Amino acid sequence: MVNLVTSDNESFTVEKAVASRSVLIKNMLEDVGESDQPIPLPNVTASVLKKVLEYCDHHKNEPMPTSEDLAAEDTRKRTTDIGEWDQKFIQVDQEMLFEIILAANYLDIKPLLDVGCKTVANMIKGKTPEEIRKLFNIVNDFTPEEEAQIKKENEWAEDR
Amino acid sequence: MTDNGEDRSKGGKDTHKASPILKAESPGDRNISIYRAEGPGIFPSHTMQVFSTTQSFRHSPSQPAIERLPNELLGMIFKLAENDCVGHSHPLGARAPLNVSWVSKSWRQLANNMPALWASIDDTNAHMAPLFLERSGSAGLEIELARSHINSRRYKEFFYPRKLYWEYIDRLDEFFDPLVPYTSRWKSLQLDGPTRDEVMPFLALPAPRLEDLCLDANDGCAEAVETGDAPQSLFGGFTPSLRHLTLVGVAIPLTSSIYLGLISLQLFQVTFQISPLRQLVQNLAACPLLEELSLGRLGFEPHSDDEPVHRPAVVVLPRLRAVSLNGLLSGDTRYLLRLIRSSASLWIHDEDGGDILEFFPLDEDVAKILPNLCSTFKLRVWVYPLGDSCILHGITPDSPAIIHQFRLEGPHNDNGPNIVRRTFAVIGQRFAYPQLRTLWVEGLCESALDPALFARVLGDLPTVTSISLRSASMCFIETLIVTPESQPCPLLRDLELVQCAVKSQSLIALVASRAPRRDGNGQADVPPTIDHPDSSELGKYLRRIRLVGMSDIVPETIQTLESFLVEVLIPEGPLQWPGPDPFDVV
Repeated sequence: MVNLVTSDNESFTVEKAVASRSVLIKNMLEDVGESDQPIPLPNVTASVLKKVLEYCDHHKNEPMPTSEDLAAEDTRKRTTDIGEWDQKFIQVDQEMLFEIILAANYLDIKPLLDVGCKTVANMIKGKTPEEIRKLFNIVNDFTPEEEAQIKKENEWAEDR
Repeated sequence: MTDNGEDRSKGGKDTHKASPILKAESPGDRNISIYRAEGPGIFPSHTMQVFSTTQSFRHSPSQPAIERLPNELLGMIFKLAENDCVGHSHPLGARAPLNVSWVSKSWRQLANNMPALWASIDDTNAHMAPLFLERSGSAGLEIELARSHINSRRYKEFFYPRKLYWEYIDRLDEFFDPLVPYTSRWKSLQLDGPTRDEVMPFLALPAPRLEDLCLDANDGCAEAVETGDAPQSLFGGFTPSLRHLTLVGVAIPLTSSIYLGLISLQLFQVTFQISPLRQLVQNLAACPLLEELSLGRLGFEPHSDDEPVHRPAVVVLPRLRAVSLNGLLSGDTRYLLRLIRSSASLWIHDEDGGDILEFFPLDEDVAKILPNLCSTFKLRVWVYPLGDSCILHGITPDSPAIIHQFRLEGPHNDNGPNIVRRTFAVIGQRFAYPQLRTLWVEGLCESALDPALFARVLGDLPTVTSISLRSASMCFIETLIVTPESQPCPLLRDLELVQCAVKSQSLIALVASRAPRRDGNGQADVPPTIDHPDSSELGKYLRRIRLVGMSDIVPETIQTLESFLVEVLIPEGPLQWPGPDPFDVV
């Protein structure tokens, strides 16, 4: 078993196979060998780690992506398809969604990072800039002149 | 470091104490115990350095959550959002990169400085090519023109009823003119619709970075013919990076250098009047990394494949995973199979009433050409009602999962055996399956196949432990009855009958013939060895029979079958063999 300690000082004891879905933790465990010392995760809160571990537990028996898999992904267009279980898993509020993405990035859990990023990409797809701003609460900070310039650039994209 | 700046690495001895605060709440929590840490932990300093140098993600509550993402992640999301595989179903202005670059200053800066985000040019943004070419910097360009989409009236009316660029894109020169000066940056080019003669003027300059080329001139079923005035090369003969080539209805002579060094080759609907088939084999020899070969409806000048003097050397392609030969003359198929050596899956589709054996050289062992044939553990055979079509499909437990698929079609020939008979004639004979465990056959009827031939096939498959017969006539089921003269499939333990016409009397006779003998007290002389790990014991007796969609079977018959110590299953719901069915991968 592996003991993980979150930024808000909660401790999670999990199977090694679950914790090792994180390449960061897997490398550390290989680094230090057998040890019952807790692993601090200063960038992850308990609520996020609980969710991340739920994902890791569900996928613990799947093969880890190889470097060949990752290289192949770079060379082909990636789809934004998400598996059924993962879709349900990632149905969380935006706050949690982005925290999961950050945690997956920090812990180096590539499949979870993919699920998070694809979910956000699917939210962006087909939306106008204004719809995207509204969805993510982003302020339009362009000056009127900049706005006019962009509009001119994009006029061919207008539906006319 | 924790949020309050405490460095746990300096905690000294292991004073960590923990107490559980949360219990498992969901299935995902089963193997996770959560504790409240009460003291600092310890970790080796070199590992702690990893943590101490990381930045905390804490943020201002007013900051939009998405703005917490580092640029590398936001960029990844932009790139994912750009890939719209649903036929560009959104208006251009609502698609990345144009929409994301218009959200805010920071998003614009990020998007405009991501060359790869602007490197895709297709029929819906080609009219804005100058903007995309500028922002894509030196990134490899991915170009796609799908005129067949554009020509679809429904597509136009449904998605973009008022777009000006339909007129624009109908003129091919306006699509290509801005792109031709950038040929050196082309990474992939996919053209669906234009003919070879239309596009050739734009494909003359060297394309050193081109990796993927797909030219599909198929506007129905038209086949291209290689003529003497065909251009000898594309891109000035300089495509050193080309790895994936698809040509449909586009005749490029086989002497062209575009056929060399490939990882995948798909070639369809061309009649080669000048290039011989031998040249194709020689090209394959120059593709040692070839993984996929798909040839369909190709014609070549007649050749004599039986004369060794005319054959090139055998080509060994160790990485080849899949070979698909569709609608080739059987002589051409035989020529290719004779000269290509690999352990790839082989898919053959013949619409001219071909014969499996015609595809394989008579003087060579089929197992030599299909070396993984002997590891086939499941064989699935579909027989079509009129006996004019048959699919043979073999699967192994290992990769490649599908060993072969032969789809044979053709008019019924009154003068000789039909396709189904000819197919069954090879099973267990020239197509030996020494490892076969499961046989799955659908559509057996007397008009398509002689039951005696089926009985011979069963006799040649002694290792089979499971048989599934679907829509089979009674006479085929009766071939499974064990008699002193005939013991087909002696290891058979599981039998599935789906929507078969069967008489209770015959079914009872079948099960009785495969049941353990009883002594005078009614006890079986050897009890069925359920889940016995020793495979040598598995097939002594029929252990299970599954009857699906057979409403004629009355309860009394089932009771009689069960009296032979056979488990009788009558499932409801969708038809499926118990447990994971590898056939589902098809």
